[in-house]
Amino acid sequence: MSSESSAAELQIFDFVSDGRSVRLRLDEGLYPLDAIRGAAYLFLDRCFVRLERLEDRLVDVTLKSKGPTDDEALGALAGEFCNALLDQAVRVQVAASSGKIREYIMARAFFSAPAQSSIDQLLAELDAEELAADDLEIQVPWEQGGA
Amino acid sequence: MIQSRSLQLRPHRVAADQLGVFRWGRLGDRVVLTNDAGEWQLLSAADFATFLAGELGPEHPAFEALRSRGFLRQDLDAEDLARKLRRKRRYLGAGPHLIVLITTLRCNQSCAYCHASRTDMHRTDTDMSLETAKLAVDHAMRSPSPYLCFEYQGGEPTVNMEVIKFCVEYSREKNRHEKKTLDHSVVTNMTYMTEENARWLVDNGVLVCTSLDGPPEVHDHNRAWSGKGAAAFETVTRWMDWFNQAYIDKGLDPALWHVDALMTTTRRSMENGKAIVDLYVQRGIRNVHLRPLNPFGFATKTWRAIGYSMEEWLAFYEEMLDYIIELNLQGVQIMEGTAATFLKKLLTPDDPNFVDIRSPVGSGTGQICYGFDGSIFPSDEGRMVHGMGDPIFRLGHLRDTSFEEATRHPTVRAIATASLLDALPQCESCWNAPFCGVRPLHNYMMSGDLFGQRPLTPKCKQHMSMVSMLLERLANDTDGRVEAIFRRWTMDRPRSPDANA
Amino acid sequence: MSDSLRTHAVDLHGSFYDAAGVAAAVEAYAELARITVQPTGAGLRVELVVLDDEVDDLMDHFLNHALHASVSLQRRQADGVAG
Repeated sequence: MSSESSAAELQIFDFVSDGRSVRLRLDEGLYPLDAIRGAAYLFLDRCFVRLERLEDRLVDVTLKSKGPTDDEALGALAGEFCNALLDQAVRVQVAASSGKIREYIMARAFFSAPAQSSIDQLLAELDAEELAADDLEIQVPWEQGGA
Repeated sequence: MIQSRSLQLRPHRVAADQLGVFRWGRLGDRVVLTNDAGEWQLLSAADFATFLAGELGPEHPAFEALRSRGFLRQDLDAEDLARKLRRKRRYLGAGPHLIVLITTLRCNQSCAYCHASRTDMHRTDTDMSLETAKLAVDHAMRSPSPYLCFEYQGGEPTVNMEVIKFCVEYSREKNRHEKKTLDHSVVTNMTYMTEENARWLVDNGVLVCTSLDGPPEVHDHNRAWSGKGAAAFETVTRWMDWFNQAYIDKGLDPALWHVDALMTTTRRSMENGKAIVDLYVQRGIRNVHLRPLNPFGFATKTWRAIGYSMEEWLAFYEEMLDYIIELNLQGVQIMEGTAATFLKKLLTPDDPNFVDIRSPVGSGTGQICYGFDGSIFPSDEGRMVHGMGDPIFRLGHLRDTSFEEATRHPTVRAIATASLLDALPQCESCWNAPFCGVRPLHNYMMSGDLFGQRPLTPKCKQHMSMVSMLLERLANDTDGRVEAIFRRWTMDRPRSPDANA
Repeated sequence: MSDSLRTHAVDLHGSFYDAAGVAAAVEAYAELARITVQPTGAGLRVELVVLDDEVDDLMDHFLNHALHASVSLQRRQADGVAG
């Protein structure tokens, strides 16, 4: 991944409301499955949530409100879900990028074997690689040496 | 009627390879960033967008804090973060330190909100025997923890004073070889106290914690007691005065040695919040611990009379928190207990190891509970579930279950799994995860499921709202006076070990 | 069998709802409905016969429970935690 931030063009979310629920159609190519699931989970208290797969990359999310169901409330619900989805997408992206560093920190914290390569090396490796490829292997065998 | 509509939203620009390891969430107009090491930073929404995009440069006032706290990839010191994380989670593997002993189920009060299984005063068959008490002390002292706090509960624990005396003396005798630091604490309603027992507790350095729900109109309303002409409030406060004077007479520092009090918040308490805090201040109690009622186990009618929603409780809490801060600004020393627990997590490099607010929860790994009959439970809540007729949390019996078998019991492991925030949806990415803790036994009592559904659990809303309130007050603290007060709330002074001898 | 018994059927895709999560929901709602689960190519087909006419939205509650349990299990598996 380059250090340049990705572009942020306006994204359009289409949804259908029927007086009780809203249904959004999402492209899994734009929003990772983990983000869709994570956002859906956050609405379990306010809504009855149903996830359906239409075809390979298309997902329908239906939110049946447990609260107000007027047009304004359902529109707001759809807006909140979309914002939650965008937030979740960032979390997924950051977690994918920093996951190996977090594993390293956890390992150093709880299995504090002497490191055979330093964090500087690790960071250099991360800089050098395409993070999105998710093919990183930490060069620090923390399972060796014991506590 | 079916309507098709659309929304236009601008997604975040993210330069992931310039960012450290962090969680984040929105607090009103601000965004809070946190990490596993317990570091946190507040940003405006606009600054957060700049940060995510990798465009927040060294000239920005928050840059240095973000860099040094590990929120930026630049100069990220993973070794430092690992050291901080290790210190924060020092309780892992340390073994139970809170030892709850149920000396009896007998109680002379019948409080509307009491969850503890209780029996009437003639039921001597619900007293712990000395044989069981000896097994319990032997069992507890197998804990690898270098510090143990024996907490005597009931029923009304002083109804079986003989067992308290035995446990204190026997554990100290055993400790000549074990060399642990021991505390003993009795949680009493004071209405069964005698001068002989009180003198013994003072002379033996046993800490006393009582229940004081507020002024007479609140306390006596909450606590039905068939006392001999005296009201519960008058009796409790008379004994508090007696103990506090006895500590002074012994030459002990009253800031460290005084009767501690817990209060239970009912609907009536909420109507008298400031009067309750004022009473605590007037009686020299430094810590008022505002806790919501646990909603389980009540008949609907009772809950309607005394209960309230979490939203109502949080509004009450916020008003009281601000009142307590205001008193501090006037020079009064009083703190709110749960706020102090969270502030220790937010403002110090340590974790207070409060068994109910940690990951994993302390049930079976930070505390253990022995029932009057020798049954072993991971916590007092587990014992209460057992008392309601559900044996699911019984880990065994002192006769046939070793300490190691109890603390490695599949039930303890299941509770740990269900409270490991990293493995729970929503919690794993929640900004409050480094400071929070979930209660699987609470979930079980509410929904029959150890895991609970996070968005539905009142504890999630409670903890997140309370920490949000603290962060907001720190963020709005332009002259540092509130932070100075909050830091004072995080300071613990050890009691003199001599007094405990 | 009463005519008032209501039957609902739904197809759940395996990428959202896993078998263990659906089984947890079946267990939770067994007293309120007769529930059968059949595998389909992409997931599970759930048929739910509501036993108590007083209970509204039972399928909705069931699906929330199944989603909660599925996401929880997926989360624990991702974190390498048993149980």
